[in-house]
Amino acid sequence: MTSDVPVAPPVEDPSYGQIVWGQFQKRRIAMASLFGLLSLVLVAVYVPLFASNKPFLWNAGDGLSSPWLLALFDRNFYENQVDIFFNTLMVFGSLAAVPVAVVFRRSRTLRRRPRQAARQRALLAALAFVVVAFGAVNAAGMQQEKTVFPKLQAQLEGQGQAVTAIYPPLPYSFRDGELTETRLPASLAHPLGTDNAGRDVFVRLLYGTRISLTIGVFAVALYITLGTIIGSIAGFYGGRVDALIQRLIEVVICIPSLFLILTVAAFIEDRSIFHIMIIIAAVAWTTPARLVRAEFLRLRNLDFVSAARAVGYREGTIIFKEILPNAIGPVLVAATFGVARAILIESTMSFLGLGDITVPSWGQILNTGRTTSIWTLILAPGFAIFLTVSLLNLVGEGFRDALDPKLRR
Amino acid sequence: MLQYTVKRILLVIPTFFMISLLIFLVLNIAPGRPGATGGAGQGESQNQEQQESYRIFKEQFNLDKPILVNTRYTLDADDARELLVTAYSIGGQASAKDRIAASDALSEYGAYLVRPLVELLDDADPAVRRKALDALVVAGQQPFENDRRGDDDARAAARDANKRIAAENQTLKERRLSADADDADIEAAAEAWKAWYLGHEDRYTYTLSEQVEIFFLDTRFAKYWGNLLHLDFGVSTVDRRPVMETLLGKLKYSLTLSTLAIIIAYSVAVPIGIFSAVRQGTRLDAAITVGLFVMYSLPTFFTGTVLLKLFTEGDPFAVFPTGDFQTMTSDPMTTWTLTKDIAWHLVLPIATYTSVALAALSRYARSGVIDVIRADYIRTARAKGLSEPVVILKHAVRNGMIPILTLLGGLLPSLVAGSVVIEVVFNIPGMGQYLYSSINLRDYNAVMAVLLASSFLALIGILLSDLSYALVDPRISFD
Amino acid sequence: MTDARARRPLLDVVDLRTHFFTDAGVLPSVDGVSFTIDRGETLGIVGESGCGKSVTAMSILRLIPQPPGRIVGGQVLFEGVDLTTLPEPELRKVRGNDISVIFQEPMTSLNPVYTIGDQIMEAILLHQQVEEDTARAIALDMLERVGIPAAATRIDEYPHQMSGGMKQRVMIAMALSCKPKLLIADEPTTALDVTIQAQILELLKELQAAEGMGIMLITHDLGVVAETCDRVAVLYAGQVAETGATADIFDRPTHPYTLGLMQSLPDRAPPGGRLFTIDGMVPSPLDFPTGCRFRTRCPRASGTCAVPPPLHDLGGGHRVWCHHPLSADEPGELVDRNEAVEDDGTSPTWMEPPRGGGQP
Repeated sequence: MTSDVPVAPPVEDPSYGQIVWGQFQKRRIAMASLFGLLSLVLVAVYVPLFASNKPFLWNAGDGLSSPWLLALFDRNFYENQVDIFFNTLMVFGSLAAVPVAVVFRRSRTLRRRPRQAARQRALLAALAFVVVAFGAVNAAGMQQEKTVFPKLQAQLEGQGQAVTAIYPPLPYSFRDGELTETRLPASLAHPLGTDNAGRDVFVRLLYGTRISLTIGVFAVALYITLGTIIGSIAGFYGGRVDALIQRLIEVVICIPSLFLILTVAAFIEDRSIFHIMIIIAAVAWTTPARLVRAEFLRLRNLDFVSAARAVGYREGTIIFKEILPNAIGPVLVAATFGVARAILIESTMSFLGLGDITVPSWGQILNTGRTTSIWTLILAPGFAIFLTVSLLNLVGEGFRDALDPKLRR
Repeated sequence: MLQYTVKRILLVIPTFFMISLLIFLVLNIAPGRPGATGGAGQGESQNQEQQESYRIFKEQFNLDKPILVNTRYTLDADDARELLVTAYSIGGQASAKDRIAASDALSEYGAYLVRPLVELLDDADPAVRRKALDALVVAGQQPFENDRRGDDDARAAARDANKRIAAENQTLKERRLSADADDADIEAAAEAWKAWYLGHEDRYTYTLSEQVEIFFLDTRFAKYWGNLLHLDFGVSTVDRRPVMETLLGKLKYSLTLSTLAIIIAYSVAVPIGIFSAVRQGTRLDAAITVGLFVMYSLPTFFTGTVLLKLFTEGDPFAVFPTGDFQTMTSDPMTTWTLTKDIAWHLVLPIATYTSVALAALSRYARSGVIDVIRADYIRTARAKGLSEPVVILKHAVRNGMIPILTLLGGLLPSLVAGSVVIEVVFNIPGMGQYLYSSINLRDYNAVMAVLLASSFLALIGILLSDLSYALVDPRISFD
Repeated sequence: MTDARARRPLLDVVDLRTHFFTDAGVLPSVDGVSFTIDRGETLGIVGESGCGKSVTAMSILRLIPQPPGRIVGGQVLFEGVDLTTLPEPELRKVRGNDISVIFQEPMTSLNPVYTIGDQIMEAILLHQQVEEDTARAIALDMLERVGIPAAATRIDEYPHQMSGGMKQRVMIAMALSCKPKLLIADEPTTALDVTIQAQILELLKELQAAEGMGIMLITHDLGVVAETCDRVAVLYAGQVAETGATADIFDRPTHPYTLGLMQSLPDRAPPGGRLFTIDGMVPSPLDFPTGCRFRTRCPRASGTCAVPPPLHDLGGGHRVWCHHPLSADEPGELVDRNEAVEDDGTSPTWMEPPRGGGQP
C-alpha cells in the first residue's frame, strides 16, 4: 500500500452535538425559523447599507468623498454604542469572515479533533479581531459636524451647483425626522410612511432590530452566566449552600418580575440599554440556576462522576469538565426562550416609556403609535416583535425536541 | 395533610420577610433620591427653609435612617469634626459631591450628633465651633411621634407629646445665631448649649442594651416593618394620604381583572388542550396549535393596543368603551346595570389579559394529556370496556391536568405583573397603574406597598396551588 | 346446532395481521397468526421480545394504538362473533366483561389518582346491573380471593401505597371481577420477583379451576409454560412457528427455533457449562426476511427457505411451519454444546446440519 492512495475521510461516530444538530435539521419548521433568525441578524448588521441619510458617494465639486463610510463610527451620528458595535461588526466582521470561511473549508477533511481545534482557533481569532477593532473605534471616538446631506444637496442644487450623490435605497436617518413630512401614509418613498416627527417608520424598524437582538442576546448571556454559576454552586455543594440558594430563588420568583424591573428602571436616571440588560438579568437568572442545579443533583451521583472522583480529579475539574457539558443542552434551550422573553420585556419597558428613550426600540415606536393612533406605528413594530419572538420560540422548541431522546426521528 | 398545610403556611412568613428585605434593599440602593421631584431640591444652593423642609420630609419617611443596621451611636467628636470640615469646606477644598454628602449626613444623623457636637464646642478652630453651633440647632430637634395609629387615647397622648416636642424644638430653633454674630455671642451660645446638654445628657448617652436596640431597630427597615405589623404602609409622598387606603381601593379592580382572567383562561384552555390532544395529528389540531402559538408570541401591549384602537376608535367596530373600569356618571345605577356596565368595559382588557395565559395553558394542557394518553393505565381503562369519553375525561384528564395546576403558581406573579400593561393601556385605575404612576412620581412608600402587596398575593397563590396539587395527586406525601 | 356450538372453540384467531404504519415504513408486527383457545383451557404464547406476542393479545380486543397500528386482515372469532368487525359499542360490552386483560406492568397499569376500590368497581358498575354497595362487596370479595390481606382497608388505598405483587393481584381481581370467559394475561409475572411469580400463577390456576375460563398466557418463560399451559403456540417474527400440546412441544420440539428456545433454558445446561444462546437477534419488523423468517438465524436453513414454509400437521394438534423440521425419529438432535463451543465458537453448531433433502 502506498501512501498516495487518496484516503476517504474517516468514518466517525457522531458526537453528541452532531446527533442533536442532526435531529434539529430534521425539524423543518425549526430549521426555517433558524434561517429566519439568521436573516434578522444579517439585517441588524448590514442595515446601514439599506438605510442611511449619508450618501455612499458624494461629490459637490470639491472632490469625491464617502460620508456614509465616515459616518459609520461617528459619535455624533450614531450616538449609540450598539450602533457603533454593529457597524464594527459590519465592516470588520465581514473582513474577518473571509479567512474563517477559508479555514472552515480547508478543515473539512480533517479528523474531528484537529478540525474542531482549527475551527475554534479561527473563530476565536476573528472574535478577537472584531473586539480589538471595536476597542480601537471607541478609542478613536470620531466626531463630525452634523450635516444633513439630502438638504445640503437640495440647497446646493438650488444654487445651480452640480452635485453627484449616491444614497442607500432608503435615504433617511432613524433619528432625525423631516418636520414637513409628518404622518405620511405608506408610499414608494416611505414604505411604511412616517411618524409624528417625520421619521421614516421602516428605517426605524430596521434599526430597532439591532436594539432588540442586542438586548436579547446580551441580557441572556449575562443571566445565563450568573444563573449557571449560582446553580452549579448550589447543585455541587448541596446542603446548606443549596438550601440558602433555593430560598433566594423562591423569593425572587415570588416577586412579580415586571413590577420590579419597571421600578428599578424608573429609578435610574439616564438609563441606557445596558442598564436594561442588567436589570433583566438580575431578575431572570433563576431559570438557568434552577435548571443547572437540577442537572447537577441528577448527575452528581452518576457513576462517571464517582469515577472522576476516584481517579482523583479535583472538584472544580469535575464540575466544569464532567458535569457542566451535560447540563448545557437544557440551558441552551432555556437561553433561546430567554432571548424571546428578554426582547418582550424590553419592548414592554420601552412601550411604557421606561426604556432607553434615545434608541429606536420597537416598543417605543408602538407606544408612539398608541398615543398618535397611527396604524402603521402600531402594526409594524408589533409584527416585528411577534416575528422575532415567534422565530426564537420555534427554534427553542426545535432544540428542545432535538435534545429529547424520546422524540428522536 | 394538616401538618403539611401548617408547615407550608408557616413557611410563608420567612419568605415574605425575605421578599420585603430584598425589595427594600433594591429600592433603597437604587440611585435617585426620593422626593427629589416633589419640590424639595438638593445641594447647598438651596436656602435654609428648603433644607429644613427636606430634612423634615426625610425624617417623616425615615429616610434619614440607615437602611439595615445603625452604628451611629459610635459617632465621636472626630467624626463630627470631619463632617463639619467637609460640609462647610473649612480651610480646604472639598469637592461638591463630598460637601453634599457631608451636609446630608449632618442633617440625617440627628440626635446621634448632639454629644460629639457639644464636645466640639471646645474645639481649637473657631470656624468649627461656629458650625458646630449651627449643626446643634438641627441635631437637637426631636422627631415627632406617630399620632395616626392606635386607639383614641394613644393618639391623644401622641398629639400631646408632639406639642411638647414642637415647643422644645421651637426654643432650640431660636438659638440659631444670625450670620453677623460676634465672638461674644458665639461664646454665650456655646455656654448655653453646654448647660442644655448637661440637663439632657442621659438622652444622648447610650447603654449597651440601647446600643443593641439602636443597631437593629433604629433603621429604615425596622421602622418600615414596625409599621407593616400595624398594616401601615406609610403615607404617600405625593398626596400625603395613607398608602394602605389607596391600595385597597385599587386592589378591587386588579383582583376582579386577574381572577376573571385566570378563571376564563383555565376554563377555555383545558377543553381546548384536551380536544387538541385527543385529535392529535389531525388538521384541526395543527390549526389549533398554530393559533395558540401565535397568541403565545404576541406581546400583550400589542394585542391590547390593537384591540383598543380597533374596537373603540375604528369606524365600523367602535362597540366598546375606550377604557376605564366603569362609566363615570353621577346617575345611580342598579346592581344589574352596574354589572353590565363593568362587564362591557372589561371585555377587551380581559380578552387581552387572557390571551397569553390561555395560550400557555392550552399548550401545557395538550402536552399533559398527550403524555397521559399513552400511559398504561389508559389502556387498562379501555380494556375494562369504558367508552372513550369516560377514558379521556375520567382517567386521562385528571392526571394530565396536574402539571397545569402547578403552573398556576408560576403564572400568578406574571399575571399580577402583566396588569401594569393592561391597566395602562385600558386606563383601569388598578394596582398596576398605581405602580406605574407611583414610580414615575418616585412615591417610595406607594411603590414599596404595591411591590409587597403583589408579592404577597403571588405568594398566597403559589401556596394555594401547592396545596391543591397535594389534594389532586395522592402520590404527594405530606411529611 | 348445539353440537356445533360446543365444538366451536371459545376463541378462534384466524390469520390475524396487525401492521404498524410509521414514518420509517410498515411494520408487519403480527403477520398471519392463527390459534384457538377452548373453554377452561390455557394456551401459552411464547417467543422472544418483539416477536408480536403482545400485539397479538392487544389486537384481540382492538387495544392497539391506532394510528399507527391497524388490523389489516384476519378474524378474531369469539364465540363465533368476529371482534375485528364488531361495532365499537358492542365491542366495549365484550371488553372487561367476556374478555379481560392483565397487563405486563402492574406498576403503571393502575391509575395513580384513584383508589384501587374505585378502579375495580368501575368495571363492575359498567357491566353488571348492580348498586354501588353491591359492586363494592363484589370488589372486596375479589380482593380477598386474590389473597390481599386486610382487603377491607386496602380497598381504599391508592396504587402507590402497594407493592408490585399486590398491584398485580389487584389487576387480576379487576380482570376477574366480571367473571370473564377468557382471560388474556400478558406476561403477568415478568415484573415481579420469583416467589411472587409462583404465587400469582398458582392463583390464576385456582381461579381458572373455579370459574372455568380460558386463559391466554403470554410469556417468554418456558418454565412458566411447562407448569401452567395445556397447549403452546411458539411465535417468531409475527408468525406462528409451531403449536401443539405442551407435552408434545417440550418432548418433541420440531421447529428449529422451538428447539433453540428449549436448549436455551438454564436448567438444560450442564452444571458449570455455558448457557445456550440462539445466534443473532430477532430481525427488525422493518426488514423481516422473505419466506421463512427464521432462516437468517437457522442452522438448518437452505435455499428453499426463501419461500414461505409449509405446514406439517403432526397429529394431535401438533403443527409446525418449516421447510426442514426435525423429524420425530431424530433422537440425537442435541449436540454437546460445551464441546461444540470449544471446537469452534464462531459457527452455529447447536444442531446438526440438515441431512439431505427428503423430509416426511
